[in-house]
Amino acid sequence: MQNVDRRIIYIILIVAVVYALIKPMGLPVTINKTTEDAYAAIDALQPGDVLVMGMDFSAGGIPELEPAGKAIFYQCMKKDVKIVMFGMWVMAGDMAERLLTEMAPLFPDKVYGTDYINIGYKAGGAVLLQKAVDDVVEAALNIDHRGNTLPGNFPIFDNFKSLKDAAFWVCLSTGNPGVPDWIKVVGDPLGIPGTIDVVSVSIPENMPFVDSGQIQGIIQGIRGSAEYELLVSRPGRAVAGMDAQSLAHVVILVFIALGNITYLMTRKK
Amino acid sequence: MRKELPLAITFVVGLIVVLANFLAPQTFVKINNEVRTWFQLVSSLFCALGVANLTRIHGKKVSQQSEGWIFSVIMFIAMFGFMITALSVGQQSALYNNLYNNTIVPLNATMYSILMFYIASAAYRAFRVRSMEATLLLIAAAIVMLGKAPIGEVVLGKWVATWTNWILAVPNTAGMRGIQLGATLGGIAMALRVLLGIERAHFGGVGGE
Repeated sequence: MQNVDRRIIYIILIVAVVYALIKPMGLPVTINKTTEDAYAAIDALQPGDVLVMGMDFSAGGIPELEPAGKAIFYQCMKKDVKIVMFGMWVMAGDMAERLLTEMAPLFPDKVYGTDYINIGYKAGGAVLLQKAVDDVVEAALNIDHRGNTLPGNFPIFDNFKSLKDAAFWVCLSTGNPGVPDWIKVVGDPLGIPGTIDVVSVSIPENMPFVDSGQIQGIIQGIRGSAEYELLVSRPGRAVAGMDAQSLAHVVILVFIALGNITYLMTRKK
Repeated sequence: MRKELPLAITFVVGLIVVLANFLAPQTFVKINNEVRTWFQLVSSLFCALGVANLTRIHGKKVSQQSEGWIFSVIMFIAMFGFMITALSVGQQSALYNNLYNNTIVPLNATMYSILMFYIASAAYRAFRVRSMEATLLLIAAAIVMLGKAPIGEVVLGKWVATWTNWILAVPNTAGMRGIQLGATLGGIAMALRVLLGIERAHFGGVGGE
């Protein structure tokens, strides 16, 4: 048992995950305080406020980050909070477009360019944020993800000229550039509150920012996304994935336990 | 001049950026804003440089039919196929979106998802109670894994979530803060070395002085 063929581990994991997805157990998901803090901070925004959403992730982060992104979009549209989406990652515009394709039809009274806009990916990394602090349209190189000239006739830019005009920021991130850049360029210097939605492996490195108060809560991976879906009363893919995550964790822990038991027995001999 | 000119440019531009951020004299701020725009343009140019370099390297593989050359052909089809599609019919077209959403997105997601298997296999082999530190690591990992999945609270009770939050908020935060402080100080030292021309590895040299 100390050296089980890894293919056996893979097969058992696949069976456990697929089983949980096909036959959900409906395990209850409790809400973590850090997710509640993030939700409450966005809920405190007023109609007309602009929330900037940093789509700093690629397709690999979709299962963990997109559900929370959709839930935040839903929450903001319900409260008439405007959303400006862009990112430092190459797939930023496409990730935003995926989100809008699914969520925008739920709000037929909300208009692209008035209530939300997808500026997309622009080159420069943290320099993009620095430029956007002075002038968002110039940082966007006068064009959005859909090829529209900015600011054009889009009313969203009437009262939103730069990141200084944002009331809140949310960074959905799978790595670098990401959270530290938002905090360094937007959060700390401008004093604009924000929160983050990160993949599970990034939670430990971002906890210091929560503790220091530099961010308002944190949406922790797929579990955080599931909690946020429940907070906006729209359970979706993240909640559905919780059973699969539970079984996968149990399988891994069982193998670790078995490996250690046989290791200790071997050591005694 | 081949060595001195890039060093001089690095020093002057770096000094302008630093002074514009910390002292903010108007002239330097204006120059800094211009530098940022150029940075964006040069970053975009890097993409073109990347495409050119990939074409050169993989073109050589295909022409010489080196090992794995068929994968280079697939890479060319994918790279230029997407470029031509985007330039001809536009990124908003149904064709481009179908291609993108049905190839790049699932492949990218799959590459990330494969990590689950490697982590499981690595955890099984690495988490052994060989020492006190290894035992503590194992216990902390087990608590966090159970705390993050709903099944932990259902089977063991609320204490698992409480302990998970404590582990992340206290010892983890303390350790990460130390690591991040050290990394930042190291980054500042490296930046000073680059600014002053002591570090020249990025110019194609080997290490610095």
